[in-house]
Amino acid sequence: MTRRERMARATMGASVLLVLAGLSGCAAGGAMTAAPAAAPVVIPPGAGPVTKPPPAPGRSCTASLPPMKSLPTVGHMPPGYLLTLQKRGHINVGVDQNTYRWAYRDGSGQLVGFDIDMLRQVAIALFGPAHLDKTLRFVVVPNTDRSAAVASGQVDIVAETMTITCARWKDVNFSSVYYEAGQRVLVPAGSPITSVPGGLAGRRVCAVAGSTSLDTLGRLPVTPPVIRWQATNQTDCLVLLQQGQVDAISTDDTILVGMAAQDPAVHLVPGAAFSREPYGMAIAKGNSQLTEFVNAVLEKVRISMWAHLYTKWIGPVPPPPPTPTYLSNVSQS
Amino acid sequence: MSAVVEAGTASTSVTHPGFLGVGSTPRSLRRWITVIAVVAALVAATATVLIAQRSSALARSAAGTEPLVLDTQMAYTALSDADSSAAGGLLAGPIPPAAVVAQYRRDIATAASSVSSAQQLTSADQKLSAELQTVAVGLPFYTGLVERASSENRLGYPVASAYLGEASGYLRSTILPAAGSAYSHELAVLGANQRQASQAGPVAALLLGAVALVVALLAAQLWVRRRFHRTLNVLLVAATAIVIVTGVVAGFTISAADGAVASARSSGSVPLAADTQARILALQVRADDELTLLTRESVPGYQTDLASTVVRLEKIVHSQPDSRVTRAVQALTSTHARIREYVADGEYVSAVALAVTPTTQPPAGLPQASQALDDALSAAVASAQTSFETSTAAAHERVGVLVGGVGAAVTMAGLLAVLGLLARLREYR
Repeated sequence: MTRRERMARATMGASVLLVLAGLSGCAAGGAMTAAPAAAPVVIPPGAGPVTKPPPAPGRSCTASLPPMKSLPTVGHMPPGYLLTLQKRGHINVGVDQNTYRWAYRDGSGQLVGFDIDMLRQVAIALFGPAHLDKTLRFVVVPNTDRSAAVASGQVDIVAETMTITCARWKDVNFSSVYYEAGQRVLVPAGSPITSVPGGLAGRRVCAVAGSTSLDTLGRLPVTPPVIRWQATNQTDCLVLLQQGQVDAISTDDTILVGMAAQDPAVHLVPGAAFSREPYGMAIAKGNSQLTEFVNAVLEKVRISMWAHLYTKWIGPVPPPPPTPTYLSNVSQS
Repeated sequence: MSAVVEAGTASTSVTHPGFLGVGSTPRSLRRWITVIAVVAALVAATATVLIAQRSSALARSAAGTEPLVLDTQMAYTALSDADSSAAGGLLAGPIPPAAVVAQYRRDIATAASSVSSAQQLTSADQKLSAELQTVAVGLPFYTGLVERASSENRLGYPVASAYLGEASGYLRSTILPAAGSAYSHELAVLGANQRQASQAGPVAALLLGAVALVVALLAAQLWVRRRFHRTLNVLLVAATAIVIVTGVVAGFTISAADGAVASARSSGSVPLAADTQARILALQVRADDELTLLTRESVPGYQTDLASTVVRLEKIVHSQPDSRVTRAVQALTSTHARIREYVADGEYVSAVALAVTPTTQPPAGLPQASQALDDALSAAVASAQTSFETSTAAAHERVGVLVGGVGAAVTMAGLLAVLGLLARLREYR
C-alpha cells in the first residue's frame, strides 16, 4: 500500500512538473494519470529455473535378459505371466500422449507414434492382429511416474521414450534397446547458439523436470554454466522457447525433431549428440518371462519392420537398428 | 398521555422538583426554558443526523455498493466460465463447436465490460482499484494465449494444450484471484453498510434522548402546576404528546426497517455470496476435467484441484438446501466419475466424447451437467438478488419517511414547550 501511495505521489509530482513545463494538456487539479502497469510475466504452470545441482553421471546398463529362443504362437502361451495375460485377454501399457511422432493423439483422438507401434507389435505377438483396440489398453502415465507405474503393477509395460539407466534398473527390468537417441539442442532461427555444448554457456535452456536431459545440462563443462529451466511437459518447453523466455531446448533428438515439426522457425543446432539415450521398454522387476518375450518380439521387429517404422515416424533415411546386448553374453559394465 | 393527565390532577403530595425550582420564580422559569430548549435541540439534531446516516447507508447498499458487488461478481463468474469454455473448445478437436466459441466470446465481453463498469463506479477505493487493474491488464494477455492455443490446435500440434495450460494457469494464479478478491471486498463493504444501516446503538441513543425530553417536559409541567396552581399547561402537554407519538412512530418504523435489512442479508446477500461461490467452484470442476483430458493426463494437479473443489462445492450446497442445485451437483459429479472411469480403462476417446458432446442419457455429457448446475445456481443467484433489492428498497423507503420528520417534530415540541413557559414568564412583567 505504502509503495502504491508513494508511486501515486510520484506520478502526481510528475504530472505537476509536466503541467508546469507546459507539456501537458491536463489542467492542474484535473484527473490524476495512473502509473502504466508493467507487462505481466506469464509462464506455463510448474516451469522455472533450476538451482539443484545434477547427480553424478550414471553408467551404461543396456544389457537385458536374453530373448526367448522362439516366440510362442498366439493362444498357446507358456505357463507363467504370459498365460495369465492370455487368459485376461488384454495387456495394459503405459504411454505418453503428448510426444509428437512418438506417442500423441492424431486428429481423430487416436494414439499414434513410434512407441505406440512398438507396443502394437508386442500385443500382436501376444493376442494376434485382430481386436487390438480390446487387447492393447493404453494408460497415460506422466513421465515422472514411469517406473512407479510398472513397479506397482498398474501397467505391464511402459514404452515412453524412456532412457535405460543403471539407477532405473534398480526399480524395473528393461527390454533390449529399441532406439538409440542422443541429446541435442533446439534453437530459434537467428539464435547466437551455433555450436554445442560451448554455445550454451550462460544460456537459459529448458528440459522436462526429472529428465536425464536436465541432469546432463547441469553437468556440461561450460563457463558460465547453463541456466537450466525445467517444465512439466516437453510442450511447455516449446512454449517458453516460442515466447523467448528461454534461449534453447535440450533433450533427446527424437523429441526435438517432433518439436521442430511444429514450428518452422526453429531448428536443431548441427553437431553430434552430447549424450547417448538408449530407449528401452520398462517391465516389472522380476518379471523375466515378459522381459524375455518382449526381447524376442524386438529381435523380430529389428529385422522385419524397424526401418519401416523409422521412415513412418522419424525420418526418410533409417540408420541400422540398435544392436541389442544381453546379460548372458555381455556382462553389465 | 395518561401520565400527564394523572400528574396534572395529582395533589400537593408531589415532591420538590429539585434545583430548578430553587430561587425566584422568574429565574427558575428561565432555567426551565433553557433546559428544555437545549434538550429538545440536542435530541432534534441527533435524531436528524442519525436517521440521515442510516438512510444514506441504505442508499449506499442499494445504489452504490450493490452495483459494484454485481459487477465484480459478473466479472469473476464470466472469467471462470471462460476458463472452461476455452478448454472445452480445444478438447472438441481442430474446429471448436460454434456454441462453445460464442460462449467464450460472451464471457470475455462480459468480464471486460463488468470490470470497466466497476472501474467507473469506484475511484476512492484503492484496494478495489488495484484488483480491477490486475484483471484489466491481465485479460488481453490471457486472451492472446487462448487464441494462440486455438491456432496451434487448428494445425494439430500438441503444443496447443501447453499454450492453453499457460493461459489457464495465468488466469487461475493472477486474474481470477484478483477478480475474486475484488468481489469479496465489495461483499464486505456491503455487509458493513448493512450493519451500519441496522445498528442498535443510534436507536438506543435516540430513545434515551426522547425519554430524557419527556422527563424534562413532565418535570416542568409538575413545577408549573405547583408554582402557579394551574392544572395543565396546554402547550407543555401538546409538546409532551408530540415527543411521545414521534418516539413511538420512529421506534416502530426503525424496527420494521431493521427487519427488512435483516431479511436483505438472510435471503439476499448471504445466499447471493454462497451461490456465486458455488457457481465459480462448479465451473472450476468442469474446467479441471477438461484440462486434465486436454493435457493428456500429464498434469495431475488438475485432478487434485478438482477433488478439493468438489468438497468445497458440496459443503456450500449442503449449507443452502435447494433440491434443484443438489440434484445438479450429483449429476455433475457422476459425469466426472464416468469420465475418470473411461480414462482408467484406457478409453480416452470415450472420455473426451463425454466431456465435449451433448448427450441426454445419464450420465449427461459434461457440457449439459455443468450447464444444468450453472442454470440452477444462476436462478438462485437471481432470486437472492431480487430479494436483496426488494428488502433494501423497503427499508430505505421506511427510514426515508423519518429523515427530517423526527427532527422537525422534536423541534416543534421544544418550541411549544418554550412558548408555554414564556407565557408564564410574561406574567411577571
